[in-house]
Amino acid sequence: MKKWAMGLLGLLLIVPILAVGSLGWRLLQHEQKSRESLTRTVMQAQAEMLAQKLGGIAQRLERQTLAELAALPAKDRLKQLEALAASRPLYRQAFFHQPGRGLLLPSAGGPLTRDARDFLQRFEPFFSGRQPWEKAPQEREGRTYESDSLLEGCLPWFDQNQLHLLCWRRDPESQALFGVELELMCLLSEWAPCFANQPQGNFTAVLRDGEDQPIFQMGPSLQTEAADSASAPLGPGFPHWRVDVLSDGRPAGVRNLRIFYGLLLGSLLAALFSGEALLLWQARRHYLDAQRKTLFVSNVSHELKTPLTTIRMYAEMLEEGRVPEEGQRARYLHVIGEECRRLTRLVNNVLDFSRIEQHRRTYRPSRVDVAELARSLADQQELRCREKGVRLVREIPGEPVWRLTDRDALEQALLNLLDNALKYGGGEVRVRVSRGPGEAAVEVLDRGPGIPAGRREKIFEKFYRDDDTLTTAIAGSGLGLTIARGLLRDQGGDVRYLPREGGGSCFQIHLKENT
Amino acid sequence: MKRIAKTGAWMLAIWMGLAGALAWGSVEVNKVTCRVELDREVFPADTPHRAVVKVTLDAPPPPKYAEQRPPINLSIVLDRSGSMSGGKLENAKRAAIEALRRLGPRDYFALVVYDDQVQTLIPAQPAAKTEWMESQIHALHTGGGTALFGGVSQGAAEVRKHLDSGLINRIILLSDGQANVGPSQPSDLGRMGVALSKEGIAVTTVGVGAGYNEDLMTQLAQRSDGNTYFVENDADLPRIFAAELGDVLSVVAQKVLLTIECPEGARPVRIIGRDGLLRDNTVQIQLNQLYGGQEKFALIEVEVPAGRERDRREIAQARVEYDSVFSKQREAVTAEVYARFSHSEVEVSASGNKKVQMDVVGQQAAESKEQALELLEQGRREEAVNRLKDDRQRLSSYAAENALPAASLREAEELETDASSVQRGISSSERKDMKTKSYQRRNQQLNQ
Repeated sequence: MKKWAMGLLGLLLIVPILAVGSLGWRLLQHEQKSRESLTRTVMQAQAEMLAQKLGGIAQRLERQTLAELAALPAKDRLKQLEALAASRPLYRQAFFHQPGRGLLLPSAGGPLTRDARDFLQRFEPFFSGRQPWEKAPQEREGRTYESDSLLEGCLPWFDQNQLHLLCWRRDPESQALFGVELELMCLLSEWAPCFANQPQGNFTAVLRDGEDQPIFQMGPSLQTEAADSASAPLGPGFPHWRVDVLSDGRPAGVRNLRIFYGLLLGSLLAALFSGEALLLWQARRHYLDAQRKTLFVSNVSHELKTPLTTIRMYAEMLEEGRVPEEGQRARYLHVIGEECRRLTRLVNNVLDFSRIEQHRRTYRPSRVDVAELARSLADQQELRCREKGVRLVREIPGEPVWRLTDRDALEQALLNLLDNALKYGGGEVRVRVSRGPGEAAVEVLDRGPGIPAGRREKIFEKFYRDDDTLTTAIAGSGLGLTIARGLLRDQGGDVRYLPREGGGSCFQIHLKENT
Repeated sequence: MKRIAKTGAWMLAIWMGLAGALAWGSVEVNKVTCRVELDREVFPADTPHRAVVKVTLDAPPPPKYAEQRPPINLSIVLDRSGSMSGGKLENAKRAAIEALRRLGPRDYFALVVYDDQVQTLIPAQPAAKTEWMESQIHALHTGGGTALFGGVSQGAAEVRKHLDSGLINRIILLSDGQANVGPSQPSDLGRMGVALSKEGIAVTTVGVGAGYNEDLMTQLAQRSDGNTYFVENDADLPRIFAAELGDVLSVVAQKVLLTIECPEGARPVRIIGRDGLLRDNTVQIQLNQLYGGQEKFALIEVEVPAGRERDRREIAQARVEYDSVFSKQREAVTAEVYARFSHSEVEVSASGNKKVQMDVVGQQAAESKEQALELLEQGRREEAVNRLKDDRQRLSSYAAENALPAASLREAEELETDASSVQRGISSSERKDMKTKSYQRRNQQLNQ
């Protein structure tokens, strides 16, 4: 697959992911908006409900008061009214005004109490006639319950910014005007239980008076300014009084929903992205694998073909008797033998590779003198080195270096390393055997171009060749190092690469200590 | 034999008489008695004069056995605003538990707490299973602002749940700060107190530390006829609560209405040291509760018209109506007082009633202090100082004129000390002390 095709695939996958993401986000916004508007509706409903409840209590008390005023007998009204005001907590001050005789209650006939004095001062506009008791229905701020008769009513009155409630009644016969001022504190105390429970939701409900002062509050205290609020007026008896329902931010429900949806969307996008990444990675891996296998097949074919061509050519010449000279014939036969061994090595490598890959390679460990093995291998390769013009230097101790390992496997691994060194190694190849415990057992050093830092582990991957062009001058399957490492690691050892001082490579064979 | 029989009959008669007297006494013992006295018995003849009538109510001792006393309907209202944190709240909790433990299973207990909102922690219920209630109290922690009005209102709502059952209704309010949510003027809370007292609910206020509003707390207590306390050291709270509960447990009369009528031309001019209704020749004073063995009195200044030599004239008739906790009925008792007139100065001055005159000095001194504090509140420092000095002068000469004991003179002289402290500026704590003491004096509070 080409790179541009993969880019296109990535793009094709990202576009729907982004589309899903933005759609999800918009849905979330919409959901949040509708939740918020629902919350506001609930807040408004709560404010109105509370205002209605408070108004209802006030109205019930006013009605009771008017009923009590109406029930006073005409004969002994003044005395009874006074007694009533003295016994009812809701009544602050009673008054009785008789046309012609003036105000009889709170009256002269004794010094006025301070409360009575204040009362007269408060409602002076009414008693002096400057303020009419009854207004046309459309002008009324308070409530009148028999609207047509104009016989009774409750009126709110502001004095020094304080609200006062007066319930009054006029006797149709004597025209006497009497009534009581309601004790606002008592009314408020009747309201208190409405604020002793927590409101539903995470709201704060506050009753505010005409001066915006809080009277009662329920729900969590607001540390900062309310983010959202709803408000409902208390009704005509309480001008400018209102119930506020506040929330300190987005309501909890909406907040949680947003977090939930956000997480959902986030994990969906993460899943899609990681799926795409996995897909692309897999595709790239398969692509690279396929490429290496193709290269491997062509490499192996090339590797097989080269010795075969030589063998065939020399064999035909010998067959046809076209080589008269004895020395020449012997040399040709030697070449044929060499090429056959090369073929065997190659086929062995391929076979070993597949066995190692499938973990079917069996090992027979025995005590092996590594020095002796290295020496004999060097001897075997001496001729090949000379032919290639490479100087083979031995640094092998005279006494034996014993290790417990599979001799064939070690031999093949070392051979692969020597092979590599001969292929890439420049003018000198050195074989060094060291004997100390924990040290590398065998090192193969060359003066080749070396391996750049980024690829020092890659060279051990299967089919990898540092120069993987088919036109490269050096033949190879890309399996030599992979097999060497596989063989040694299977037995607890390893092959490592180190750059050689002064240029070139150093491959170290580590073998497990045997005691 | 005859003699023996005679002696036996006598002894029997004596025994029966004693038993009868005891039985009669035991009935009388459970009643409130009323005494009416004048500051002097004899007035100068032929000149109008001002007299002071003292009406004393003597409450009978409280019932001896717990089952005889009426059940209590108690609601404790605790401030848990931020300023209560630390020792204050811990001691308040201990005090509440102390109060709870003194109640019996027939009593009702409720606990309301408030910061900037109000919460009923323990709804009104019989004080029988106290473990749960105590655990609720222990779990209390401090919060935010001070919704004092809401707290009292909710406390009252809890008391109202059992209002009609013939109980002793009481709210104990504890606060250490300025009310900042809801009505917070002293007069507002005073009006609340009036309304509650009409329902037979008394509010006892306990102010802790130097930060609370003493005007508000005393007004609320005064207008609902409860007690008031200023607790400087919060470790005293449990003791105060215990003392207060001792008072409540010993209530013998409720909804006490004292009516004083002046026949034969005498006219009441003012009530000294108490709130009451004064109309024509009648004075009405309402007291919420009387505690066992307590003596409560009211002083009324009366204008006595000129009387002739040797005249004996009725000056005042007093009538006390109250709900008795013994009979569970409304009872009434009356008393009256007469004055004589004489030209003899010796007789007039010898007829002085020292005890009444001492009370006059005490009550007027308390009144004077409160008025001075009110003037000081309005920023009229000079007037406050002058008021205290003038009253000191007046009361000292009154005490000297009537040859009153040294204690009265000292009480008058105290005003001079107060005047000088007002002059140099008094601290919040001094002010609280002064305010609370003068209220306690005027209200004749038992525990101070």
